[in-house]
This record gives sequence, C-alpha cells and structure tokens, in this order.
Amino acid sequence: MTTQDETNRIDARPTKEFFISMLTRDIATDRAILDLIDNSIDASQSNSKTDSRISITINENEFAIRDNAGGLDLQIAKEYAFRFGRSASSPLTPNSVGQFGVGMKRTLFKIAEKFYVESRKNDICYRVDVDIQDWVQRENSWNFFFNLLGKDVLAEGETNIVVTKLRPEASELFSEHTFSIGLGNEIATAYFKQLFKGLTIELNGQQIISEDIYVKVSDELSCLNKEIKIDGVDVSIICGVTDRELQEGGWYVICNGRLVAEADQTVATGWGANGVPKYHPDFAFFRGLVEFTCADSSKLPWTTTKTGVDQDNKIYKAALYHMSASMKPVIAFLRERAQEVTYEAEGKINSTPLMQSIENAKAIRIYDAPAKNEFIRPERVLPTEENDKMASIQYAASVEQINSVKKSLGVTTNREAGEKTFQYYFKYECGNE
Amino acid sequence: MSNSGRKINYAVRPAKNVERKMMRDLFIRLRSFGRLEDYRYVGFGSKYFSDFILFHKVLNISDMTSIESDVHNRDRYEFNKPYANIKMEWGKSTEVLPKLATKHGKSIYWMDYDGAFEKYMLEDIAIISETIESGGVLALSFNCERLKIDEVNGANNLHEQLVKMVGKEYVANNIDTRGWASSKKTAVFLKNCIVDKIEHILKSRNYSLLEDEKLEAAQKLFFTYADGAPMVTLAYVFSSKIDRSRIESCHFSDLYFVREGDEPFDISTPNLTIKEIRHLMEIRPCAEKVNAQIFAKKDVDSLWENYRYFPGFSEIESF
Repeated sequence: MTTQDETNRIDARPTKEFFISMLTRDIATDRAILDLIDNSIDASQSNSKTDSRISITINENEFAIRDNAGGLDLQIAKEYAFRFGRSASSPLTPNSVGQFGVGMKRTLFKIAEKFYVESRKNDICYRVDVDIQDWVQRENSWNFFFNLLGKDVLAEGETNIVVTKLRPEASELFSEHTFSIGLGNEIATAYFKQLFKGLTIELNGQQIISEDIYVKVSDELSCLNKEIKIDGVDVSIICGVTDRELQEGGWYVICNGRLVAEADQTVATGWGANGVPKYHPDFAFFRGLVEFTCADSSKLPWTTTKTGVDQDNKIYKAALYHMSASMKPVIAFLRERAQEVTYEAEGKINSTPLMQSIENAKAIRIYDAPAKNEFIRPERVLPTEENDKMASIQYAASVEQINSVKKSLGVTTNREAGEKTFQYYFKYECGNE
Repeated sequence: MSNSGRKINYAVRPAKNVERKMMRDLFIRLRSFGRLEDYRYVGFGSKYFSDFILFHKVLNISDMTSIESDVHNRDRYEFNKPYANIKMEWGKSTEVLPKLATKHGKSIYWMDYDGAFEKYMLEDIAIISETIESGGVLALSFNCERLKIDEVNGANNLHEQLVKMVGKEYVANNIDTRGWASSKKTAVFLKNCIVDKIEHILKSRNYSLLEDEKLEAAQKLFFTYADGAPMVTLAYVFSSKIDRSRIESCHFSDLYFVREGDEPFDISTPNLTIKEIRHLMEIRPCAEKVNAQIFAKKDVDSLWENYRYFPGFSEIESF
C-alpha cells in the first residue's frame, strides 16, 4: 500500500467556487424555487399536517418563503439539513419529495448573496445566517453557524427563509412581472395534487389554485386504469381522452405527489416508439397520468432537478411498457376519430359517433375517473362503399391559365375544365389500369 | 396491409401451399399449452382466406380475425368469407393491431405481408409482443429480394437501403458490405432486427412480471421459398418460465422443417407432371430406380422431402 503522509500528498479537494457553479448550473431559477416548496411539503408530511400554508414573497429586492409545516429541528439542522447531499445516516422521511439533499442549498446559492434560515421546533428557535462570499473565502471550513432567538420571533412549527441580498441576475429576473406569473403557473401544476388536498400556497399574497388534469368519461367512453407494483414502488397508470388541447395532450408523470413531467409528448413517455406514433395534433385529446409512490424516494425515477424522468431507471422502464400498452387502444381510437372528421368533411358519412362520444362525455378529475381495466369506446362508422368510391380533388391555379385551358377545351366552367383535364390525363397515362 | 389478393391467388402458389400446411403441423403441437379451439387466429385473409380455412378445419379455431386494408371493397371481402365467425377488421395492420392486441387469451398471429420488409412491420411486431400471452405464436412472412448494391459507392448505398428498411438504430455505420448478393444475408439481417425488437419489448415487459411469468420468444420456423419473388417466413413461440415444460413437450424439433438458428429451411417445389409424381412416389425411397434421363435429381429430392405437404393441383371447370 502507498504510504500516505505530507510528502506524497496531492490536493484533490473541490473548491467551493467549483462546487457552487456545478450545483447551480443545470437548474432554472423557477424550478429551483420549487425545491424549497418540496422541503416545506416534506416537513408537513413528516409532521402529519394536512393544512399547511406556504407563503412566498418575490420581487426585485427580496425573496422569502415562510411555512407553518412543523419546523426544522435544531439537531437535524446541525447534523444533516445543511449538508450538501444526503448522508447515509440521515433520518429518512418516508414518501418524501426532497430526495437528493441539495434542494435548499442549491436554490439559495443560485439566487442569494446573503440569506438566513430561521425555524422554531420543540420551542427552540434559531437562525442560521449565511454570507456566501464570506463563506467561500473561508477555504478550509464548510461550516455555517446559528444563533438562538427569542421565542416571539416565530410561532411553533414555523420556518422562514429570507434572502437579504439577491444576486444581481436573480434580482433582474424577479423584477419581471412575467416571471412571477410563470412561477405561479409552475406551482399550480407541480403541486396540483397537494393543492387539491388542502395545502395552501400563496405567491405575493395571492393564493394559487390547483391546475388539475381532467378526462371525459361516460357509459360509452372510459378511462383505462392500471395499478401495478414494481420492486416495492406503487405505479398507477390512468389514460383517456378529453377536449383537444395541443399543449396539454400527453403524459403527466408524478413522483410521490410531485409532478415532474407535464404533458410530455416525447419518446421519454413512449411517443414514437414500439408501435405508438409520434405525438401529433390528432392526439391532442390524449391525457395520461403515471404516478410513482414509494416510502423510499430514492427508488423513484426522477432527475435531481425534478424536471423530467430518469429514463434509465428500471422501474420507469417497467412502467413505460405498461404506459405504451395502455395508450395504444386510446391512440387507435383517436386515429379513427381523425379519419371520421375527414369522411364527414367529404360527405361520406352522416354520423360521427366517435366525435359525439367525446362531446357528450362529462369532464371529471382524472383521479376521480372510475377504474376500468379496458378502454371502452363506441364503434366507428365507415363510409358506404358507393360513397367511398368517389372523391374530389381541389386545387388552385392562376385565372389566366384556367381561362386558356377552358378555351382550349371549349368549355365554360372551371368544374368542366377540371373534369376534362383529369379525364385526358387518365386516358393517356393511366388507361391500362 | 395485405392487398395482394388482387395480384395472385394464393391457393395455386405451391410453396405457399406447402408452407401453410407445415405451419398447421407446428400449430397442432401447441396443444400442450391449451385447447387449440380456445386459441384466436389473426391473419391477412385476403379474398381467399386459405389460411383461415385450413386452421379452422384442422385446428378447430373459431375466433378468427382478418385484417384488410382494402376498405373500399368491403362487401367483396365479406362475401368471400368462408365462415361467418371470421371477423373483418378494416385498416392498416399498424392501426388495427392496437385494438386487437388488448384482448386476453392465447393467440396465433400470422402477419403474411405481401411486400418487401418495411419499418412499420417492426412496429407491428412491437404491438403484438407487448400483449401476446404464453403459448402464443407470432409468425411473419415478407418478401426478401437480394439488395441491389451500387458498385461505385457500395457502403453508403447499402447503409441507405438498410436504414430505409429497418431504421437507423439497427444499422451499424461501419456495416460489412460483403455477402449481400445473396438474399439469405438480407433475410438473416432482418431476422436479427426482428429478434432485437421482440427481445427489447419482452425485457421491459418482464421487469414487472414475477419470476415464473417472465416471457421469452423462441424461433421455430425460418423458411425461405419462392413462388415468384423470394420470401421469408419466421415464427416465434412465446412462453413464460412456468410453461417451459409445456414448450418442451410440444417437441417442435421432431418436425424436420423446424429451424431455430440462422440456417433457413428452403421450401423447394419440384416441377413435375402428375404422372411423374405418381411414378416417383411408387419407387420412393429407391434412388437407384430413378431414370436420370427423365428426372432431375433436384426435383426428385424436393418431392421426396416434402411429399406429405406437396399439393395436388388439377384444373376444374368452375362454371
């Protein structure tokens, strides 16, 4: 074994600058803010609170997030919560949304120059104050420090994170009105399930309303529902149709209650692979929801930024097979619906049972859809053969050219010009068919 | 797809006729998995329904579905259906199979495509492999002409043709350009693509299955033949781990035409008159009695190899 002492030591420690830049690079600011909400949700879950309130204040001068989810225990703060990455010995939070132990630090390092975190739990109230520049300069210490506070600063169970000095990029971003609107929309979709169940999130004093997912069902149109267990993870797959909305069609992927992919229309959720066509406006009626739930959140197929699925995850691969098989009959139905529209426009059919079935069905929350293990749908109507043997051709040409064709044919109407030229071509070029 | 009913009457294609009967003999052995009459058959019946007639008569399968893309002549197909229990499904296979594949129960699929191999066939294979149950069979036939390779830029040209047929993910960018003058090379290449597709689907399907339920597909047939254009037929039997003993008790390998590897069984049909056939059958198996002035060895060999399956065609006045 190589001897290890000062004479042959090679310095391989990470620099804090590198660490910060790596940590904050690959996540958008709005998604980073969601990580803080995830922490609040985990706290309220581990404290069995169902009516937590999270308030976010965001503008060009400040950022703050305050919750009453139960508080962060000082002992946990000292040993685990501020460490970069989850240590193997840290206590588990069953069914948590925060998994990687980077959320809070990543967000604060991305937007703040100075911040503090204060919390009160078990009647101990404390504050951790951090000046990031100062911390970076202390090359040999990774520690933060806390002060105990008087109990009147926070109510029991409250946590308050305040950025006292924003980074210039963050300040600029937060000054844009559209940023906070976008953030509100992200929150409404990412936590639609918890918001429906009673969680309150306020953004700059306004309460955010859940952006739920709907499907349409009736006696003749159903929603397919499948529950499976893969390696200890409960997977629930629901898919069906609703009104056409190009941006909203696709798969919604949820891990432990948190939406990680919204209206996914890519190969990551099976589109354009193994007999499923690529996403197309004809399929904008499709809504699919796949939900992974597990006490051990490290098994869930999410990426660290929670902005998509980890496609190499074995559990996800297994679920993808079921998603692909479940969506096929729905896609077949939507293909026939598109064909029905064409037949109707061409006057070849008089009734449109597929279109009607969607129109007549009732929109309900996708979670409220009754469980059916098959996709029930009406039969299509095909054109009668006489109707189906004729079709029209329509095209535009310059008036000058049309007039000269009419003159050459000795006819007076455009229709005749079209018919005669077609017959002429057919006779000489396709006559042997 | 299947629209070649317009092009040719399957009943008078001798190799096809032999093939159909060999498949029948393969399917009969599925009895170890369950009652044959409980199986479902899905195929391309065209206007002749030759496969449907044979499999109904011999295997007693009643749940039969014929996929037909020629939607404009529906009445004619309905008219030609030999049995009322055959259900027609209208549309292209890739569009119709997702509706059929969700049905539970053991199935035999014979996708008897009438054209050259195309990408959509791999999609069909994926759709079927996603839901086919243990004891099910997936058979495929397609046209397999040898590739015509441009001498000047062989590698590019070959690469392009293969990508067009099966998609980029199956064609290595440094593919060996030798040997493609034989259609067997193309056949084996396509067979490998098909196996990759089936295995890919089964792998993801097996993740959520219990150990005993895990599925695998075993190649049982690899035919080459040519009634006109060179054709390939492949057949795979799917079985779960718990059914491994059943597949063994099918004794598929007792059938002399079963091929589980890369060497195809070539169905050759001799060009002989009825009188010649009668004579050769009388003297079989004494090769020394064959008059070499009259008979080519190749014809004699192929008759003696497949005589049990060889069709006896004769002309009848149909009206």
